[in-house]
Amino acid sequence: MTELSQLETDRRALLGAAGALAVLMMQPGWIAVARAQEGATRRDPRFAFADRLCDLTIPATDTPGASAAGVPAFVLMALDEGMHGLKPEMLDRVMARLDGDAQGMFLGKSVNVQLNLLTGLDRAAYASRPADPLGAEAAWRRIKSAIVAGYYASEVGASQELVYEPAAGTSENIVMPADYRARSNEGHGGAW
Amino acid sequence: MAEFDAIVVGSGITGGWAAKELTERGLKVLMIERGPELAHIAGYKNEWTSPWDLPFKGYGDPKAERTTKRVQSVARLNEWNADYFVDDEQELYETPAESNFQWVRGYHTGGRSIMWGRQSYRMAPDYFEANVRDGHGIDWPIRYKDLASWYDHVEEFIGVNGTIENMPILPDGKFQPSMGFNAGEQHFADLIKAHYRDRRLIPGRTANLTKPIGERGTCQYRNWCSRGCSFGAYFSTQSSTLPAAVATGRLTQLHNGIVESIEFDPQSRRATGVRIIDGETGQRSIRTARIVFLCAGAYDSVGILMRSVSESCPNGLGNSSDVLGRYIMDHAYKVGATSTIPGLDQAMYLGRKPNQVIIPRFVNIDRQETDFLRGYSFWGRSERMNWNRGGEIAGVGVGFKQALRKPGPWAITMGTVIEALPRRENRISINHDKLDKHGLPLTRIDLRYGDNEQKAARHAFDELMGMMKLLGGEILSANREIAPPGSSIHEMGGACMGHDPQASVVNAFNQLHEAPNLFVTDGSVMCSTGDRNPSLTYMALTARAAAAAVSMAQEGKL
Repeated sequence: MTELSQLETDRRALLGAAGALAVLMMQPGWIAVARAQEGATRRDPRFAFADRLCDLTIPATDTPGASAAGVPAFVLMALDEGMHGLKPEMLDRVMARLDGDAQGMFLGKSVNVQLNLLTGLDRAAYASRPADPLGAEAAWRRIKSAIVAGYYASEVGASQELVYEPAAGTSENIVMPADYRARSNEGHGGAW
Repeated sequence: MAEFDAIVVGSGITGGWAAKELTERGLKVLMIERGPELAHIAGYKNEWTSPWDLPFKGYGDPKAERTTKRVQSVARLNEWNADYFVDDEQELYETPAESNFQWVRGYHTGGRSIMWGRQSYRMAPDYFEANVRDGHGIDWPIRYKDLASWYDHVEEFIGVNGTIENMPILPDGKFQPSMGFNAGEQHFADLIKAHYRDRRLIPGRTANLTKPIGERGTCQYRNWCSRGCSFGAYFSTQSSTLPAAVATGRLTQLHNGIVESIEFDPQSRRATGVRIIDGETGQRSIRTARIVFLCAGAYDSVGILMRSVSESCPNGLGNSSDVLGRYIMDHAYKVGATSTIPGLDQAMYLGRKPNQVIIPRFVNIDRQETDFLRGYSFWGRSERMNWNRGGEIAGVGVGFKQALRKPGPWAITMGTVIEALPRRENRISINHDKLDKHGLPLTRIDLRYGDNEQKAARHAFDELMGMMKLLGGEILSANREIAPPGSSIHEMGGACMGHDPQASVVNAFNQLHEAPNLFVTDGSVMCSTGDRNPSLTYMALTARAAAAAVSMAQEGKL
């Protein structure tokens, strides 16, 4: 029998646990529940618009974007539950603004046009504190905050796009390396 | 014949200390906790939970924040630790609108020691003399020298990391190696040192281990202490005092035991035990002991004494002087600001340091120099801004995502801890017309800040702005307004110590003047607040009182 280092033993134990979890998640009950929830969210008439906003804001690059990370469902939940002052009508205001700027259906435009239109709204929203707290610019700032919060608290955003580090085990001052990637943990649970 | 040598009411910071000290000195102790058991390690169910596995991704249940956790949300409540805080719709109290007291509580083993802020400071010698000097409140019956060795005792057991500073206003202690500064904090400390002769920014003193103590491991720099720590790396009842008490073989624990009142024998003028309501069945029972330590948390302890009504004590036990419930206090809090720190772009840190920095009091040290009495201190912390800044800056698309891969600018947040003057009219009372779900009359808390706190807040804010200007950064937020009382979770007073039985509730060894075998050792006995986190002082007072109680018992004086 090959003697394993403690580190290797721990790693194998971890992989074994992950495998067991994967098997568990393959059980029909899990799949049925997950699919039912996903289906309900996707049938929400607002889903397509929220999904577009998410992927325009945080697109797929070398890591998945906000849409693949499940952020649209989080944003819709945040709107419906009133998380951090969000209100369902905020999405309507942003949609009306973008439809107006598009002189038609925003969702019917090409991705490039959509990106230009959203960039325009974003610049206006952050040029100064929006004068109208109920307007589309203020609403966009809140929704964008929710998109960011949802993405970096998702498994994809937290552990693939950024580094998820539950226990650093040390506290050191360093010169930041060129390839340093931020730790997602630092913002989890924070205000947005 | 009493069942136990001593009953300890409460298992929080002071209850745990009372149980440890009394059992280690040979007493058979019953520790009564009003909430359920929360076991070390096994009870920390969300300690390692990832945000994506929580229903609201770590941002909290908004409905609960509006209802069951409405008050508790002023504290460091989050989706990981929300179960450690009471249900506001179940654990009722009253407060007039003019007070709006925010009563943050945790009813389970360890009480708030699980989610406390861990900042551990000694009161300055001067703070024990402030009341008699300026005529506010009750003169402390002890001075710093009476508590100094007990501070040593507590610090060495719980493990406090800090730096030796030789500042009379902030006595040094028995410290583990400090967690030190990060680059942002060091830069601000250097600027303050260069521009001011009267103040200094120093590392916080926190009860997180930088060296192991017994079975307790060192801090893992996660900065999520309030979830519970399976390493035992910060002080809590569970990690520290409870194991010590259990190890003696002389501790009995009782959970879900709500102490309704103290049993009192008017002939001998002694407490004989406590009357308990079973939190699950509602059944009442009496447990007896030769000594009772009341450590239920400041305002709950006052409530128990006020509910201990009998023919000989019609206004509550210990209240013949009408001082019980009076002089309640809480630090005035939340005045502060956040500024960016330019010029440190290449500086970074590893780990999430669960500590802060402080600027100890620098006003009214040797002479009265302001239009308000006493003073304030600053606390704060510096970090690089994280991905959360994405909601506050312009940008969408690939470039936006790439930018958030890197840490943001350095920023520092500083806030004030303002001493609140003790005022007789700030008080707790009992509303016998309204009962809670346990059938107990509601505790009514009326604490209002006065002109002195408001003046101190204005002074502190101006001083902070002056210091932050040195950074040359952008002020991201600033708040001049004091938060409602209770927000600092440093509630104190109500059963103040004192020499005079006609003007105080307990004596210099925390004995109730009217029942010398009843010791009150939590924050209720504080005569003044100082301007710093008080828990270390509660612990030192408890250890001192426990040693005195055992000596007195051995000498037949109880």
